[in-house]
Amino acid sequence: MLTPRGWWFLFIVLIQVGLGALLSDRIGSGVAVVGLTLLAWFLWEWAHFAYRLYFVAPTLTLHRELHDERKAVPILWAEGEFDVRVRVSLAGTGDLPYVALNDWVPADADLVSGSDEAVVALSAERPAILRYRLKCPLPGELRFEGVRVRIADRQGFFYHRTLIRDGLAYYVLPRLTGAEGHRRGSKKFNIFPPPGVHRLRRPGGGSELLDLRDYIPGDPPKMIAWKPSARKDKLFTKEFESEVPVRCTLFVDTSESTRLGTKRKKITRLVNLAAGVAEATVADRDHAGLVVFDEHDARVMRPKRSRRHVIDMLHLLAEAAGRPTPFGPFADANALARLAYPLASEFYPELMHRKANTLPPRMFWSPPSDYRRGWWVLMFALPFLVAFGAVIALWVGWAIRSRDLISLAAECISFFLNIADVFRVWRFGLPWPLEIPLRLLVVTAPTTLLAIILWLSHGLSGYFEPWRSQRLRRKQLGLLFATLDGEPVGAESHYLHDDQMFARRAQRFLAEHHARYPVRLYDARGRYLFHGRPKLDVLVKALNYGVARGRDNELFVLLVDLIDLADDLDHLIRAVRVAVARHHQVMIILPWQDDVPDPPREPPDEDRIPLRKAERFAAGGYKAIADELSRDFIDHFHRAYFKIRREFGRLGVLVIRADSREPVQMVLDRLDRLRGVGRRK
Amino acid sequence: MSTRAAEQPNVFHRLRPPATLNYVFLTGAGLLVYFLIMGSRGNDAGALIAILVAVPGVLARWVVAPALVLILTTYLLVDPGFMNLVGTFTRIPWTLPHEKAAFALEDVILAAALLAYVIGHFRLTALVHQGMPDDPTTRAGRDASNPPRRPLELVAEDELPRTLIIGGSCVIAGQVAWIVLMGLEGLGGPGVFSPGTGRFLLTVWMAGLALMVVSAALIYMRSGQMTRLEASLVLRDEYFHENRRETDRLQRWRKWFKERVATRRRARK
Repeated sequence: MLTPRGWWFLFIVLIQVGLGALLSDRIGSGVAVVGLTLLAWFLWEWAHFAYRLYFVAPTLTLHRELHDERKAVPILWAEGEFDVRVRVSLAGTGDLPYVALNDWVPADADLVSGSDEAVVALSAERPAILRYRLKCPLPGELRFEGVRVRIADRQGFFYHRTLIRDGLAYYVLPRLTGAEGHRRGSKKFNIFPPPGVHRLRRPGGGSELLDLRDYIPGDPPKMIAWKPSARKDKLFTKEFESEVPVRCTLFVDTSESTRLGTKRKKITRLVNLAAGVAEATVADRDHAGLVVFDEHDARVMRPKRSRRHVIDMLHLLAEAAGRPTPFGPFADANALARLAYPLASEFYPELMHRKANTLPPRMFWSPPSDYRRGWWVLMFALPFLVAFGAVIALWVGWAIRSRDLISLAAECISFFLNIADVFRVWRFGLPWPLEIPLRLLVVTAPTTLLAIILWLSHGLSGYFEPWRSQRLRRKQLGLLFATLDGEPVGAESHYLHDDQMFARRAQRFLAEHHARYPVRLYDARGRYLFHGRPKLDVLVKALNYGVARGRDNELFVLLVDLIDLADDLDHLIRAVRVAVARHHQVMIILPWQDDVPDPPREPPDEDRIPLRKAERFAAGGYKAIADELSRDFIDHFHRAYFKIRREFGRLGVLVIRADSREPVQMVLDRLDRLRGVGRRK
Repeated sequence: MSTRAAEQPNVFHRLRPPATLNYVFLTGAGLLVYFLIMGSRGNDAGALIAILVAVPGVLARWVVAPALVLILTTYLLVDPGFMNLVGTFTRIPWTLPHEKAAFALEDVILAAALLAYVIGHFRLTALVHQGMPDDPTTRAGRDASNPPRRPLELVAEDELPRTLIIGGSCVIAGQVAWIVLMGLEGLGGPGVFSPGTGRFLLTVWMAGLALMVVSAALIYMRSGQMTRLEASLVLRDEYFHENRRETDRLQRWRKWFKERVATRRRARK
């Protein structure tokens, strides 16, 4: 509560009061009266601040509203701007004359204008209002943690920091691209198609003429195009367009591999693409469905075409995009503690305060007996223990009249005294009950001293960096986590001692508060940890489900990160084959990594012999090795891409890349082209 | 924030608005009275030095200035006009007679003047230089060189009158406390301690009591305002420290067991 300024002032005033009283007999009461006056004022200010802190500040309330151009909104749109209005007020009596407010703007949003902070005086009649404008570039979830409140007195003697917790989360839906812009070209002659009627360039039972084809015996006579037949002297049959609406089901991969990276570009790209395609599909009066899947399960939305359905789909996509970065099986506990500690101090100042979450100095003592070094201490202390153990045994043996014990002890003592004679330890000339222990002490002193030095150095090491900070963070965070989770008493010690347990909880804490944290991508053997093979099983199940319940003209768009799974596609290929055999169409969109260049037109050679690699590494050093690794990675990426294309290309499935330059329109064009490829018998 | 790096006016501009000007006058009046009182006690030079420390202290954000002024004042009251100090070198010690009564109007006025100076200095510092301590945050983009100041708009109209009333009350309270202390000393009759030591012990006892009462009240208030989570954390913390060694041992065995299981699993593979 007291600032350094306050502590110094109090110290000086107390010295003055004490000195004034002590010397008052000689110098009069001047110093003492001045000191007591200043002390009285200081105590008054202290009590007043404490009253404000403990009775007024707890009545602080927070009300937040997010507005678009017209009204308050419960959801947000990616790449859209919106106003945030935060009202901080006091519910009870009293006032806070000097308060600094600072709204915790989510890290995923950009402050466009206005200010997220203000210095105000608060009272029940005079609330504070913060107004600023935010832009949220990515879909997902926006979490407002609350308003950071710093309260001080008018002199700067006292200070307190707290957080008015908010914890409101708003979904940021993928941007609505404007359905008119994405209308397919084939609809240009039919601006207002009746609901459910769709111009599909595929033979069907519609009313629009699609094409003419050769007459096949069995065709109904009413379908014969008599005029062309007469002209060409050959029977032709009319084919009409299908009037069945296209049902497009989007399978969006939200597995761990898509959620990696600082900007989470893969999942964002997939979600934006899916949203754009779904919106355009519904705008064309087609049905759009959505399956969001990861390694564990899939959430299915059956194809529909209502506006409400689109919003629901966008909600589901936003929820998927808002999922946290994966944790991974391994993590560096200390690195995570360094990240989580300041954040926890910001969000839970009361629970991280040293008055509640205490750090007594004895906590940092690192006892050697807890470690293997304790054996070394014991080994060096052994001569001392044996020698004085023998002295005690001698006294005990003498007391209980045990000759065996006395002789054993005497043997031991004589052994040490012989050593003393060998090293010519000085004789003190004292009576033997004192002389013997003293000589034993001198003989065992060097090893005992070593043991003490070892014991002290190990024990005190906990008070020095980096061990002190590590223990401090782990203890405070462990206690915080255990308290927040309501775990049984004593659970905090797990966090202090179990690195992986602590790391996992710290990652969860960081993820809950939308903070970034490092994820280990490879294990000790250099194997990638986020292959996500189980997601293929989930995808296959979901695809089979869609095929089983599908009607004609289903279009399955798989937005899946398959690059790392190019060698494990058998199950998926089988499922896709079934879908194709059931006359459905499948399309695969792979999220492309930003740092990987576009693939060449032709697949790279299968066998490239790296020549003079060792010489290049020797000449280029680490840079050459890094270049080679990067080249290998890109090569592997391209090979995997071509393999996936080849494997699915055999089934007539189009595989395209979704990179940063791939707009939704391009995907829709491809979809249109895909629709236009009618299967002719 | 109310303060932007690009818009920072210099300190003289910041002292011009009425809100700060009131405190400038308060500080100036305090220093003037201080100078007069100290001068009347033969401390002209010392008071001048104190003022030379105090004025730049306000202008140049010397937080230490009030502490220096208080220390200097204490010394000047012990050794008026540096006579004793000069006497140490000239070997002709000078001492002036002191008023030894419990109540002296000069002392009360001096206390009031110093209190006015201290209040004025710290409030001006909060308004002009820095109002609250730097609090490092995890957020980027904070201007550390531009600490938060108390905006002038926050200075209420009745702030100065209230301050004067509180200050006056504190002066009276300080004087009353001293009279009570002297009275308490007189009640005990001649004791084993000299009068100065006796007063010192009584003062320490009283100041300690006052601090203890304030601290106890603060702890009580804090406990009363605790949330369920805070209370749970405090209890856990207590348990942790009581059982730390025991739980450390248990965790060591747990770790050993986990390692053993992992080794066996590896061996099976």
